Amino acid sequence: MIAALLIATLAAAPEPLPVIALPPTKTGMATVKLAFRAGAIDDPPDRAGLTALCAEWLTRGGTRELPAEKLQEELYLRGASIEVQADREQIVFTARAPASSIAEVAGWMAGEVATPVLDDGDFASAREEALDGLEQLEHGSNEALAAEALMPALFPKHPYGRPSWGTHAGLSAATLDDARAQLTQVFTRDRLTLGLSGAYSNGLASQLETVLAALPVHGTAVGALPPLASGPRALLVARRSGATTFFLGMPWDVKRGDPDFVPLAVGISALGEHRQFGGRLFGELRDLRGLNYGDYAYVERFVQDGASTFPAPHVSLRQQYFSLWLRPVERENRVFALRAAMHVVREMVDRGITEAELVRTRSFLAGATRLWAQTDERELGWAIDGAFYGDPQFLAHYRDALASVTVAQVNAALKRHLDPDKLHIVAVGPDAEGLARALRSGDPSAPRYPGVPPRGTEEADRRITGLDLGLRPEDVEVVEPSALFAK
Amino acid sequence: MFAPFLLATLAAAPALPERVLPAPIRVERLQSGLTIAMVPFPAGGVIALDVRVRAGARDEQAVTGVAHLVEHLLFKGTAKLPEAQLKQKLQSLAVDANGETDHDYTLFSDVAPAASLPALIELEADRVQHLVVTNEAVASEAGAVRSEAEARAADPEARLGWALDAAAFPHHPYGRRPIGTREDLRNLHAAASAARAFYTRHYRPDATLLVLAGDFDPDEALARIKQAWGAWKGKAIDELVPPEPPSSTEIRTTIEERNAPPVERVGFRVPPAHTHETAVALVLAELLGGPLSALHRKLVLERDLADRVEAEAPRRRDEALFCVALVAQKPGSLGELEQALDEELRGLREGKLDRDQLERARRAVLWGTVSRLQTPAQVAREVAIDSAATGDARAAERIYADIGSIDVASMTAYSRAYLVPERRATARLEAPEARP
Repeated sequence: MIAALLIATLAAAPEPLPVIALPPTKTGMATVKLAFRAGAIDDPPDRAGLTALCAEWLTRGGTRELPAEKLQEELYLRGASIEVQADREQIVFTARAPASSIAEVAGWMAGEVATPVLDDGDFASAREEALDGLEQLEHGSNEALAAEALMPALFPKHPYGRPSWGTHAGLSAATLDDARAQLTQVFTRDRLTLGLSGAYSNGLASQLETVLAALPVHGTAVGALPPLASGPRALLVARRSGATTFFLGMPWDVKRGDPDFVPLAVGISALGEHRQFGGRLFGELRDLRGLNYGDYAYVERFVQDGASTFPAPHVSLRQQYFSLWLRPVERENRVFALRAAMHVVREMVDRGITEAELVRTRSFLAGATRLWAQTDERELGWAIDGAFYGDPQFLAHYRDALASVTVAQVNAALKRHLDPDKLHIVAVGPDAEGLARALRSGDPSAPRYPGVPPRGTEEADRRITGLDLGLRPEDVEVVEPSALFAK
Repeated sequence: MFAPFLLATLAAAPALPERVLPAPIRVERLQSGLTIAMVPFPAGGVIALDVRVRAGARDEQAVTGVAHLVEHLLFKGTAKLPEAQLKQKLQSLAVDANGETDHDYTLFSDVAPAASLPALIELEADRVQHLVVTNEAVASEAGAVRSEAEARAADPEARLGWALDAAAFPHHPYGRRPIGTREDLRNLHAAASAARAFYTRHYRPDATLLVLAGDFDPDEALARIKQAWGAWKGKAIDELVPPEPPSSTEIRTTIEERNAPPVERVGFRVPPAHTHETAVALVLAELLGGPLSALHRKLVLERDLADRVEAEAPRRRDEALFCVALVAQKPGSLGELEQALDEELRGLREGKLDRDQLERARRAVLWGTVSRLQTPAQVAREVAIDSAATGDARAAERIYADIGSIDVASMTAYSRAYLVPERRATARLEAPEARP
């Protein structure tokens, strides 16, 4: 299906508009996306969150013909939606509707973006919601906070290191004038790709092009990324209750299109990703020892798509990173679980994967790519994100490449790129000071198994109990949640 | 009451959908009582296979959390396919496999490339029919279950929902968390014999429904199912769960938590899902908590008092709670939100519902469901869960078809019968530091 992907430009206006169009279907739902190369990387200094705030503002005023409230009613009566998703380097507006309504709905979305109704009150309420979102993150689940806290740990003093929707200081400082200026500099035709999929009609792209011609033609150029700075290796976020969630990770220079990407993707999948039942982390920590609910690793930025386990689209980054997620661990076993995960990573780097693991992992990934793109909307999302990395047909090429990857390539890529001694550790849980003392001291941490202990793990458990995490006392920092996203 | 929206565009909105599922449900039943529901439709080479056992936390005996533990144990392997091999096979077949336990059902959901379906039918037949419960497996899964319980308890609104259930159902199992009580979770590693007993009583063909959805050939799939599942025998125990005794007054409870958002949940005990009133409840949820509802308009859009107003119709085997959630902008305004809800409820009982408002709600429910049921997994889950609540494999068709015959009189009758103080339970979440 993706092989017939149409990549074209609509040249009616001064700046040709790139279009990614999947072959149309006859019935069902349809999707239109307006994908901007924009995001937190465009936020001016001291205005963290401004670009995402602008995107949200655009969707609040309705169109020049339909007031916001009326637009919501029209959408709702059609089972349609217009949504915006903002991340570090992508902002994507998505219209989704049954075939009978997609032309109208996509037209409304294009109108909201290209000829927006900008109301001061909407700006204030969008900012209020973004600030509420920060507070909810600070007071909400340990897992959600740990996932977001990994970013400042890996990318301190960098636009990736802040929530895409901003910080307390940045959002509070943003003014209407800032937002109006940002709209003309970032939401421009030269940063836009139009995407269509599902049951859309042939003339829809041209119809939308007419509306989108109202956008400014040129904005500021997408800037270079700042250099990476270093932060504490272990960032422990203090919470009063719950169990302890860990995220580990390290920035690396591998991304889609690089020769090592596919071998590394196979190696990290074998380490373990969501619902990859043969993953080593899941097998060792959960299946064998019952330490927690799940343990996963990812070759590139991963954000879970709602309640599914699939990767959410539109979180592409030019600077990628490796991440590893340990779901909540009870206090008495948390240091052991952290050491066990590190032990599994080291074993993976030192010994590599086996031929049998390669065969199973390739089979899993080849099949999983079908599931990742199982709706027209998701398939279009993969094509747009593929274009970010220079290959709109990434999934098809990825499947092809999987077929020929070898054990030697996987193991060499793991050794080249994954360095357990460089992994940053983020923990969110109760008694963070106690955890800090344990990590600084390097004292052994024996597991505690209620009931029947697992069979055949005694020797490995002894080694894990005393595993050196390579942390110096000054590498460990304890912070309150409110300090994470202040500036 | 039901502030009049402009209706000029209603006539321009698309007609009601012909059906909410992408294709009709085909139902087959084997001699053993095993039921198969199939919804074949083009899905990009993807299928979903759900195995639904009509037993869950509602049907537990002495030990709570055991239904959920059994769900976990089905991932620990069988004599024919020990755990490591089971996991490797799931990996090779690229199956996104999940388990879910609620009060009325236990559900095993698989999504996979269509080519994996034949092997998957066999794999599921083996693990559902031939579970082996070992003490080691129970001990390791008990730790995983505690971690899962911890992750789920992180959401303050979920905790409020559990508090409301506990207050409304002091006797019926719907009053406790399906994952089990804290005490039983602590001792879950010692629950092997309870797990064996639960499995033996409930994992039987007459309590089991297989749902297939997506890209597959129904005749071919049915032949494979007969081969792999046809010899399974036995009768499930249908547990007698006494109904919750009626209450003479409204029930109220408050929980206090630091930094908690101001939220109130108001529930009304309404009839089980097998009745035709389920469709009324679905439309009522739209009218009270949908984005076009008068409450949303007044409290969220006009007065800026609420962050959210939501309503949810239950789909349960026994009487359960129809719930409205009121999420206030600021602490201290929950009383005002509740007052606005009471006004709406009074209007409904007095028959003041506007016909056009009802029509919009019906459209919103039906088109919203069409949009929601797009993937094989979504379709299979809808069929599986609706059938667990009703005992009818076609319930996912029937419930939505019933929406067509709802009128103002049926909404009024429902409101008068069920949205009344003696069926009401209210739970409030407050932050002590925000109290004046």
